[in-house]
Amino acid sequence: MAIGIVGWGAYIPRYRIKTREIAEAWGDDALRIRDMYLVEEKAVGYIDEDPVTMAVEASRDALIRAGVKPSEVGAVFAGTESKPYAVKPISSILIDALGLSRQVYSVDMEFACKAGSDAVINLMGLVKANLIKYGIAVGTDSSQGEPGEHLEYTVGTGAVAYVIGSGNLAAEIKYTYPYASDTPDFWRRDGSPYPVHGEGFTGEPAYFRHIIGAAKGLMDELGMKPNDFDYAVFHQPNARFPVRAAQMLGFPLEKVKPGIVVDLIGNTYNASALLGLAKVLEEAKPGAKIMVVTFGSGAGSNAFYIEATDQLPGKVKLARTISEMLEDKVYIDYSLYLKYRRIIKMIHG
Amino acid sequence: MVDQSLSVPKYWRRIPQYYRLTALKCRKCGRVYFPPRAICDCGSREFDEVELPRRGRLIEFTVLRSVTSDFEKQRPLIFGIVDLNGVRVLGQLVDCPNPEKLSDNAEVEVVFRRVKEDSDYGIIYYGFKLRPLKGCW
Amino acid sequence: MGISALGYINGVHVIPPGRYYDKGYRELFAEAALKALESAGNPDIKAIYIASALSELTGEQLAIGNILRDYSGIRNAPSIRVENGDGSGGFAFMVALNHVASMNDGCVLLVGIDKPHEVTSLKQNKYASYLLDSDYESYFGATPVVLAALMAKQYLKNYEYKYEDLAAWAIKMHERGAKTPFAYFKRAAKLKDVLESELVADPLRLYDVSPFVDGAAALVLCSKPNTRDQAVGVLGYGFGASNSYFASRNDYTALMSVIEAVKAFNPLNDFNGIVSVHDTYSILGVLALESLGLCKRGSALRLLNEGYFDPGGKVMVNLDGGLKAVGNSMGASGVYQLASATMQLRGDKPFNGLNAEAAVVEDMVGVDQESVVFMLKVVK
Repeated sequence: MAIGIVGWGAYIPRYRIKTREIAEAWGDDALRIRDMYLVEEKAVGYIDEDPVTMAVEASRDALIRAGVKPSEVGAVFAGTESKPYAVKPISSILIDALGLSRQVYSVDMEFACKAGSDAVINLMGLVKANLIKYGIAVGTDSSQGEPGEHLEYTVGTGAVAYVIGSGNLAAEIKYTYPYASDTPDFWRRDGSPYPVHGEGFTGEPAYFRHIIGAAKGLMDELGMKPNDFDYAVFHQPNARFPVRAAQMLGFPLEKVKPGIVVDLIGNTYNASALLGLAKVLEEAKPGAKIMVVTFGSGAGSNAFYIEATDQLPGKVKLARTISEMLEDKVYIDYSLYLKYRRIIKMIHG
Repeated sequence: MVDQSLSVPKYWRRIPQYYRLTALKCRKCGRVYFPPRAICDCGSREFDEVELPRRGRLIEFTVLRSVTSDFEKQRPLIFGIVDLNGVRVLGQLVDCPNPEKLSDNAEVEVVFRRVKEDSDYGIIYYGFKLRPLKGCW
Repeated sequence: MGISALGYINGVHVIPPGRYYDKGYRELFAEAALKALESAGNPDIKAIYIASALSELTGEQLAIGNILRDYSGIRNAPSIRVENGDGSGGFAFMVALNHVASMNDGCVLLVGIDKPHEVTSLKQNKYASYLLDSDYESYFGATPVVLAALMAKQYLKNYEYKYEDLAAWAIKMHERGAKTPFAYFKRAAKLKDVLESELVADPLRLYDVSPFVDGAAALVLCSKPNTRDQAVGVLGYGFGASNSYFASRNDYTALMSVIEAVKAFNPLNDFNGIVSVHDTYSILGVLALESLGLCKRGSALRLLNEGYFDPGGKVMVNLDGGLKAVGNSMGASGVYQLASATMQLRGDKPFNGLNAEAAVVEDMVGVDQESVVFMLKVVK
């Protein structure tokens, strides 16, 4: 039974801020900041956008590309680390916003930036067990970056959704491989407005160990090599990390570049690698082999081996493409950024 | 308990309209009503639920600067009338920093956004808004 | 007495609208009510009609009737509160009129009263937004000025007017208000003032918006005329309604409720006399003139600028300066219009020398929700 992606949808807000603009506000050297992260600009959700609204937008397009009726969906899982409610699900709002039936398994998932990919894997299991026909997995985040702290340069806003099922596949998910451990590289305590990280500690023991561990484990079990893949997509907290992960694994730059979006929209956390995959799907030919490795702090990775089907190209134009959304942009300055992201501390509203 | 200044049931019962623009179509004459009505102008009381299309054309708009207390920090608000396949709807226009550049009959898409929230502790109210596809920045 | 009227306005009193921080609903009510009764010769009152839109919202008072009555010492008459937004005054008058029309000999008291300045401007805007459909319009933050602005934009576009043409409404209303003893705005405005005022909802500027005011106005309405004065009778009224959901209306440049309401009368194209329109926003004043049938569609702004509606002409519009100058006292505004029209017909100062025989008074709920139009006439 072939299980995989029946349809997908992505959402990137219209507003952008250049990292240079942020650096100027805080007296940092803009060139050095760009060199550190290779992030030119990032997407900024408007004042009325949050992980819920973006999840709805992405999921609507995913259903359109899938050609699946809302009534055929049996599960909706939302992966996020920036829930607007500490208690009250995003997934239940999705049920009514998408017009799904009431007989839907629904839950929000949290594993830092990894939960969106866990949603995909969980849906694969439900489809395989014949408990559902189709499920929607969402990765959505408008995470937080403390003003004046380096996370502010890269934290973006975006969402991506995948309809998982076993017929009419755009791409088959042929294998998955997890790699996880207790590694406190980045966290946000309950009730705290901004995450805290271990700077360099987020790199080697966290991001790279888990990404490489999952990617190598996947290839070892399948007996595959980097040469066997046409594309490699990695979680992208900045544009340097995925490129270096590719080098460490032996992927050439041209196989990793098509799946990098962080340089233009910032790190979209739970949408990050899955948005990269969505962009790759827009150009991949039938039969293309894609490796995707997500990462969530705390820490863990899921590696995927995905293969494009003949149906993929015909689905690309059915909804908004990432290429279009990357072009559809309006720049804002730092003061509007603070207003739109609700960073200005207000007594009311 | 935190005082709730906005009503939850009043919002909850309109979720089909707020989220998906669920309208009523008369079984007898085919006329579509948004917001829904109990009786059609033709006299019939039998309707089917239909969702309005998520693409349409802008008829008219204005920029409101003097807003109500629930929207103080969201000003200015742009309001537009759009035609969604023959049904006219009033809503907020978003992602449109320079509305004066909008052309007549500009194409808009229906999007899902936050509308307001009941302080930092109450619920968040979601609903449809209207987003010009291009031409206003 | 050749004319038979539904009722006669035998006494009026208006409180100059303002910001009455030192007075509550009861104080304003007592002052207006007692003086109106006095001016009618203190007749027995069969009922007290209270027109108010905001008494529970800003006054935090339900069942306000007995509070107001007890404070004012008016006994032995039931109180009936009428709420229909900023059209409460006209609708309460309609009910009161039907009451006296059913009596052989008797009087009722009508008091329009509201105090928007009990709360801040953001709250005032919120309460004004309740005039729209709360589920489908004000939920999204829309207010009456949004709808008026959309109508103004369409009107100016369709009939090829400039905003400067619309500014004439504010200028003329301020000019009239400057001579009205009870106006809130008693100073003239120049074109420059209007053009440089802040945008509220384009194209409408601050000068296009009637200001919220605290106010109370009272009328004594009787089945028989007060023989001591030149009496003013109410010959008839008409009611009309439009679609409640604004976007669903067929025409954004006409007031359907007014067009419907005025069908109760012979066409007004040859009307000669006083007209009072409910100009919560300049554009609604302009559109009311057209929808009443006083002039052709699209012509009101041109005629206004040409002075056709000025004092001394055939059709004299808003001689007191309208809501623009007198102020928008919400539920009381219609009673102000009716009281003012009575004073104008009686020739009270400064309205002496007009020699008008009849007045048309239009009161509207929100932006073309419901309207009621009255025909008043001097009965000698």
